[in-house]
Amino acid sequence: MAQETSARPGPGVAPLAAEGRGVRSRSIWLDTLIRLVRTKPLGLAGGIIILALIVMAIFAPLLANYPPAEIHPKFKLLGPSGTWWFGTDNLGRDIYSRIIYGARVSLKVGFLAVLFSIVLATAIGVVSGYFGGIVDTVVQRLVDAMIAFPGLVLILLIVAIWGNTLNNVILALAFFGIAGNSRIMRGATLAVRNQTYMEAARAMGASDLRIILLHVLPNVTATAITLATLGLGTVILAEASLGFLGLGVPPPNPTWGNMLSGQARQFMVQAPWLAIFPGVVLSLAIFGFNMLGDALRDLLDPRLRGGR
Amino acid sequence: MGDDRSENYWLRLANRQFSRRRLLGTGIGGAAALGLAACGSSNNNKTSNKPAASSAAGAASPAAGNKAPTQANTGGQVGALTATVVPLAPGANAANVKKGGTFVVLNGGEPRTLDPHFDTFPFCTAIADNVYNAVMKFTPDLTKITTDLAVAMPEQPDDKTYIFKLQQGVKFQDVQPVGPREFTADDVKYSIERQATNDPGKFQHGYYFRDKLDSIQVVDKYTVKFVTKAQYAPFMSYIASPWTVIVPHEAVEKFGDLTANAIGTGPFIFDSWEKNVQTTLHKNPNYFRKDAAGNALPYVDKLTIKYVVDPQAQLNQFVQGNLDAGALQFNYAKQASDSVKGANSQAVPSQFWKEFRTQPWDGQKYMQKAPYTDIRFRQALVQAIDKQEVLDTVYSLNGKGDGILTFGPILPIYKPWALTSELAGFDPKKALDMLKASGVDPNTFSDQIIFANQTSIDQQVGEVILAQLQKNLGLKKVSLMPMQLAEYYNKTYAYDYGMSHHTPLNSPDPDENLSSYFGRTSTFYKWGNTQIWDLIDKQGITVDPQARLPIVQDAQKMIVQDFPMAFLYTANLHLFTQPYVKGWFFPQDLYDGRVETVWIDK
Amino acid sequence: MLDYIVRRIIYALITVMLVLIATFSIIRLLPGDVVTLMAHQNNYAAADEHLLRHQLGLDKSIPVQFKDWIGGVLHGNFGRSLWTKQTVASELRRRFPITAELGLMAVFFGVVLAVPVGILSAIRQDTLADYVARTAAVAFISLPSFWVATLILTFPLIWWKWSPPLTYVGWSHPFDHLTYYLAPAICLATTLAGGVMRLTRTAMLDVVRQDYIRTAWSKGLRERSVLVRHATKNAMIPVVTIVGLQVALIFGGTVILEQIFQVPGVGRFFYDAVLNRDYPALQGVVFFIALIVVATNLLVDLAYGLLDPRIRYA
Repeated sequence: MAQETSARPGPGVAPLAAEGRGVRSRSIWLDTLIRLVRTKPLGLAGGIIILALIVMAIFAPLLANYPPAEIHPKFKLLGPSGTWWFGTDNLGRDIYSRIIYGARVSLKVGFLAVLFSIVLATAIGVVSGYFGGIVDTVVQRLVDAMIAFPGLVLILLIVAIWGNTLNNVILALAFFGIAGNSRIMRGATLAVRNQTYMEAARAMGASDLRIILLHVLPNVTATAITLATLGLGTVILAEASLGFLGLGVPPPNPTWGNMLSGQARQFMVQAPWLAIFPGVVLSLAIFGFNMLGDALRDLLDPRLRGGR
Repeated sequence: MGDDRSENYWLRLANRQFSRRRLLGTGIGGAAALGLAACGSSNNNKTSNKPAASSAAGAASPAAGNKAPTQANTGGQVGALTATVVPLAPGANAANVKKGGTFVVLNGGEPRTLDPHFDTFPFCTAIADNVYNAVMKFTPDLTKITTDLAVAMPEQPDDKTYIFKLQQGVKFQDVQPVGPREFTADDVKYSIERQATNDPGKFQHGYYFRDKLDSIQVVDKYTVKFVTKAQYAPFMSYIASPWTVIVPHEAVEKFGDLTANAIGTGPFIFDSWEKNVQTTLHKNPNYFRKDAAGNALPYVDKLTIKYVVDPQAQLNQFVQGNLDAGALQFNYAKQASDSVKGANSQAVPSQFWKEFRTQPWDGQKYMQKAPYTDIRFRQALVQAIDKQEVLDTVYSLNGKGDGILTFGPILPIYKPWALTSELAGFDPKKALDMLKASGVDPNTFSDQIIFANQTSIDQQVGEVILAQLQKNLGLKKVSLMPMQLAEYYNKTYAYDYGMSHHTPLNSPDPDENLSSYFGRTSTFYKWGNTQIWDLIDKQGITVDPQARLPIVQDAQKMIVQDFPMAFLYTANLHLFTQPYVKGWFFPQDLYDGRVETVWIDK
Repeated sequence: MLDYIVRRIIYALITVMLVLIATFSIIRLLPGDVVTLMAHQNNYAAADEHLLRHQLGLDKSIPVQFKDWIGGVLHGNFGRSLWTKQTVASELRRRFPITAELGLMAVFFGVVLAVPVGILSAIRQDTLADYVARTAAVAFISLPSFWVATLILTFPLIWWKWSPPLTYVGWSHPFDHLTYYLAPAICLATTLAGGVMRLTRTAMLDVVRQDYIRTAWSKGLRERSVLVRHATKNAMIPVVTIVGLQVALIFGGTVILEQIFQVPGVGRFFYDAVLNRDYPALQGVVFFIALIVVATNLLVDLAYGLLDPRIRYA
């Protein structure tokens, strides 16, 4: 794929770079946060949702009413009520509690997968973008080859063949976005590389590693964060698809994705709440990540800032 | 003469009161699984609702313990009619038969191959049963063995000899390279020998006759004589098995195997197989069997077997009228009866059933590992499982389980062989005591329960069993390991697991249910208890059913009380046909996909 | 320009080479001895294991195996399915048009839905219209495709006794043929639409701020003409690129949708091959899919070069 930097504008770098890292960077983040609250209601909404979900995940044992895997066969397929806030599933498990704990698993899987993905994508993209030349050409061809294997196809292969343990699922999902994200990180690196101050740093004799660590990385971090936020939504969805095919996180761990596939489909007519609640939470989570990601991107890209 | 000792015992069986309903077959249905060979596929068709009034099929209500459905009585007529005459399904009226049309049947998955000796999944027999015939076959309700290509029950000058007189003038289907030539005793010899190949593992049911037959002699063109090496009790059942169909040598010689070709003597000629869509067949104009009024069979012109894997899609297709017959998943049954006015339906216990297994071993190649070596630990596991709760929880909408419990390795649908009382049932106190006695520490014992994760139902069963083990025994570190079918097979046939829940197929003959799992030369499972081996061997050579029964019972008792497995339940299949489908026998899961008597009344 | 084309083609070929190596390696990286695995599963007799090994070419050394694999592929021999004994190539020939049609329809619906909404969202950035549009877009992509499919299958059946057609019909009945694809295409489109919409929005935002647009404004051109003539055309460049990338998404999406809607396409074939551990077929189909993706990306790159002069002369 040719230069697609224009499709994914990198974050604004001039102000950050010119001031270097340190105290200024922090105020940039604070500044971004303030602008987020003031000018991006959707992004703010997204951020609040995410925060709520994280809190839900952390305080799950306090918030849930029942252990998520505890079955109550006598109370199966009951609708929402005082005891069972979101109703029960076919095994009599409390859906509300499962959603709360589902936040733990979904978010854990999501965060870890995206973390690996972004870290690797950044490494590949930065190296490729910074060094350019042969390194760039070779690495990009490898990335092209990775892109050639469609996401679900690759994930299916990995999980189906190496087994669907929790760790394999996380690794497989991590693979998902590496190629595409590395392209974008490369674009962001290119944008940084051509700044004058970089030449200055080189002229001063700074080693490549130092430049990368001190100058490039801090400036592409914003892009990375944006990608991470957006990637989370995709990964959580991908896990749902895996769950549908029976290859997701192993039972009885609840994730919003696998709560949507098995029994929810089976009893859709008799007990729609099996699907409605996880579906709503899943949608909210993805909405949150995407809106936040969009807002961050809007805010951090100087070309998009400042309205019309 | 010629008595069919088999006939007698099966007759005895038929005359007893039994509460089983018709089993629907040939994997028709909701099993999104690729059924395991004789290990059965996951079947997930149940409903807790009463089936809609079904006039045409002589509705038997699913409540336990009611009268024998009329079908058995019709079945009982078989002996009186001539060999080629096929009885009509109950509710069918010879005078009203309409010829022509296409009959569309649902299969919940696709066969791996068309070779009836190789692939014994129900999805394969759905086709094989219609393209081929066997020498004998079971009646649709599995209670009697009746004739197919044979004219009558075999003559038996002694316990080890079976002389079959074959139908004359039967022609193979007019398809190259076989062409319309006559079927003879040579074909029977060829086919059985092919199935009994010495290549172990090549054909799933090679063990039926491999090393059991002394000789197969072609006495004359229409007479074939089998001599077994020793008394072989399951002989007739195996001859009547849907997998022991007769295949023509020309086809095997030309194509190498029968993976993609099927030419037999049966009512339908194989046309085409559109992968992932359907298999089409058309009527064999020269089919040798006729109905009681002398009409040629089959009645319909075409047979289409549609592959629909997704249970929701199955319902949709049925409601829309794109499927004429099939099994639907239990939670969709009510919607199906409500949406299709006049649909016929039956709920019948499936031949596929559920068992919870502990580590297989044979003491020679596969050794038993601690803590499974301790019978007390195994007993703890087995008796910590509440089978009724699993049934009630997973297979129902309102808490009333849709199926029947089993107390041993033979299902209650096969009276009189099945055990009738529970010897190792749910007893949490006992289980806990046994666990303590065995000294296994519930806080540290860790292992996985593996299973083939075909549908949501498999997963739910796993979750319930896990919850029970955790609650009743306090086992904290046991976990579930759902696997894809191929991967699961791998572990299963390498006998490499500690615990598993499994969906095997249960067959009419006790030998099949005993020897292939717990016997000396078992394949689907392994159990190294030599006393059990001896008992199983003994029942295998006791031809007289009266004498065989107590041995079979003893063997089962010994097995159950050695705690290799928890024998759980079989769930009901929900079989539906459109109101205009007549003459439908609601055949077995596996044992009778033959639809020669069906007609479409539109 | 020529320089650009040649360069991109060479890159594509290199990528294909890498894909070949990757596909080849994946199979051989599988845990356990592949042949024993297959033999066990497929109930091959001990003697046949040798045959299997031979058939898979596993009795030769790795470099020779690889050479054979490439040779086979160049001749269109993608291997033979263990189960069906048919060649992978014949299966793909049958199935690829089906999945391709599904994919194209999905892309069409996705684009038709997403692009106008994206444009609207961009030119009315941070207004209510933008928020509504973006919320709707995200609502779309946050529903897994199998969910939309379930809804389509379940509720119309109850309310109106209607279900989308679930039996594959060939071109002999053109109308039925197309309606058969509608439901799965729409489900797939919802997955694609969200991403495309947001990308269109970003691209438009980017373009709208360019100097030449400002020039057009100041010249007093009407908004519509500015948009249509300048902004949209240029914004389409990255959108075209993205649509090209969707090809990969399509293959992923069809794996699930083809199961539910009974479509006998490539996705089903791939999934069945994984399920059955049909390794020769798996190798062939994975390579084929990757090949299609690379080819599509190449085409998109070339189109990109045509559309954006800056690229050509870069």
